[in-house]
Amino acid sequence: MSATAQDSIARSPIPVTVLTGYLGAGKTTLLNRLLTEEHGKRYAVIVNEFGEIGIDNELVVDADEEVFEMNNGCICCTVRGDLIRIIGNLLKRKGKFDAILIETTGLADPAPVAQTFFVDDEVRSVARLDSIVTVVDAKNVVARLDDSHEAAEQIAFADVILLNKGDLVAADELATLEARLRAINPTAIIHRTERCAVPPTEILDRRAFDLDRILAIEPDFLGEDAHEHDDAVTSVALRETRSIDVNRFNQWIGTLLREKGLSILRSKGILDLKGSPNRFIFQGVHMLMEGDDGKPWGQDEVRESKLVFIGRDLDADELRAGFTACVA
Amino acid sequence: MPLAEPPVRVPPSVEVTFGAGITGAVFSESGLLAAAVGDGTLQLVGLGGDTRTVQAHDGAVLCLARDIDGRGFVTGGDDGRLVRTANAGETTELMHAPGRQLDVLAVSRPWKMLATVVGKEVRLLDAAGNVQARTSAHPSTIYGLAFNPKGKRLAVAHYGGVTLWWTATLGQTPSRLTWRGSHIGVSWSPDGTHVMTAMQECELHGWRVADGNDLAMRGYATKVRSLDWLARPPTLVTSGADCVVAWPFSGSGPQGKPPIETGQGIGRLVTQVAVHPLRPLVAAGFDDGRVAVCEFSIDRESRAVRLRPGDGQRISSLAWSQDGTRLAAGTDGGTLAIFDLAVPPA
Repeated sequence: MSATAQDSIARSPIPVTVLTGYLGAGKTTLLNRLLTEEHGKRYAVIVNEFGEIGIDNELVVDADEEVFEMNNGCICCTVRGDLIRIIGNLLKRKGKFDAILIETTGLADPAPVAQTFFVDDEVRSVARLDSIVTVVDAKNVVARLDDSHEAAEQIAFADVILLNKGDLVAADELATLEARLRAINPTAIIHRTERCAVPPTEILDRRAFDLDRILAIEPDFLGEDAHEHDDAVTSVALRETRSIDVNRFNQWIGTLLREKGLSILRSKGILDLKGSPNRFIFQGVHMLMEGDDGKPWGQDEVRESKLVFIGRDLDADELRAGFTACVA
Repeated sequence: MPLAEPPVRVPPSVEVTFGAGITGAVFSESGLLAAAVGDGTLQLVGLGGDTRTVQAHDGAVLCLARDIDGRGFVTGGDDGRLVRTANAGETTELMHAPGRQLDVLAVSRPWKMLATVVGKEVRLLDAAGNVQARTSAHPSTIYGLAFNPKGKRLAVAHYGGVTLWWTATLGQTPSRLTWRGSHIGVSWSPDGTHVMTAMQECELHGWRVADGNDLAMRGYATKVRSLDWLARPPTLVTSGADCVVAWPFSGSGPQGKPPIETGQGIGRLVTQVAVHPLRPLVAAGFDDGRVAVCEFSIDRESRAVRLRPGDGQRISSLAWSQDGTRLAAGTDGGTLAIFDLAVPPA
């Protein structure tokens, strides 16, 4: 069905970049920077109704940020109903956009936004999630991490993190902070910025959700001392040099995401499956997962499998034992 | 109607392509066709094929309806404007909600009112364009509106179900028809006994208004973006599968009965349906640009006449003229085809 829905659309799906971050972290500054620095490109900007600062763009749509549960038996499968509608309407306009930028409210959970691009076939046929960018206020993020769920979730979901207002804190403080962000999300790219000054190419067209762009997972565990903060959202990286049995893996990951999908925010993996000449690549958001064959292993290449889970209250030993049991 | 033999193909009398996708089509009572386009224009096509371009919106036209007088048209756009276009082409702005996409509209001829939506709010406008009533007493933003056949009641589709208002007292004494999930479109049966919704989860839900009893129809391949009714016997006709799926509402209702299927064998997804105003026929538009007119027949095998071959563009709108002699089909590539079915092919 989705195949027939897609092949009648001649144009390629429009990339969508999601900007998250606490109120005052600098999302609107980043947005206006992207809009003014990338001359000659057309953007549609979807803002939330509480956005108070003007956005300098021809096309700005107000969103209601309505998070709906899909009535499909999956309790954590929430989507942004308003986005499905707004994106469908935007694509009816004459001419093409280069990208759609979505600014979320400070307290927004990024999961429903991401899941919208996994579960809605109409949205999938016209738009693709490019990346989630989280702007963090270096001065206030520690307090936010200590007093709220959302701050950690926004960091956990990020493909790119702007550690903004870096000029307002001392250098060693910034290093500690970066280590703490790393412990939550070891795969995101972190940029230290002042007033969100970052080249637009570092934010736009990242293809962070394209399976064929997940070429390598190199979890970057800076500073083990970060664990002393004991954030509820943490990450677990697993590595295995023996090849993996596809059936055992499917059964394990399926059960794991079904049972623990509420607390596993994001997952990513590159697998060496026994009998396959290609890498198998997968990624997931909560209980939703997609996977496909990636490029073939090179002749002299060391084959190995790597997984990263980011989530709440992850049991590293249990995950490691489960994955080890998938060895062929 | 040239429906005698299946291979007969009627060439379109007019086929033109505009600068963006066709987002809606409707005929006025006198046979003037209005086609809404993604470039903000309304294309008014006369009986002779003469076309007048009206720049009704800045952005895409998102919804289109025949006006209360039956002669002109009303449109909503992603410029947040609600615009009335008279049959001669002059436009009047009825409403403006900056930053909003106006994509929901319903018109009641008998009640002489039109209704539109801004977020959670329904606004009821009279024939002069004045807002007569408004209410935001809905649990989420509104996805669909439908007046019942007499116009006395207004059904409002939103997350979690449908709110029914009495049009005369909008905002007071709502009836709530509840069902978990996002209801993305709503329609009344022609006899006013049932309210049916299309859902985000690729199914239909519905209620018998008298007692609130639920119905559900599942098994669609996509969301049901187009639904229409055959008046006699009352039958709900839907898109969303690889054939036209129709649910008979006569007798005890559709529960436990298989649907009537027609237009099979083309092997493409039906994206639009439009029931002929006089005869038991349905026009079906497919996701590759094909158009067929299909017979409804419970007793024998349904026949279909293919009117348009596929060109890779999805059919995004279909409309019959009120006398049933002309059929308009629009694609999301911007092509508008008008088939003249009054004249048998040579």
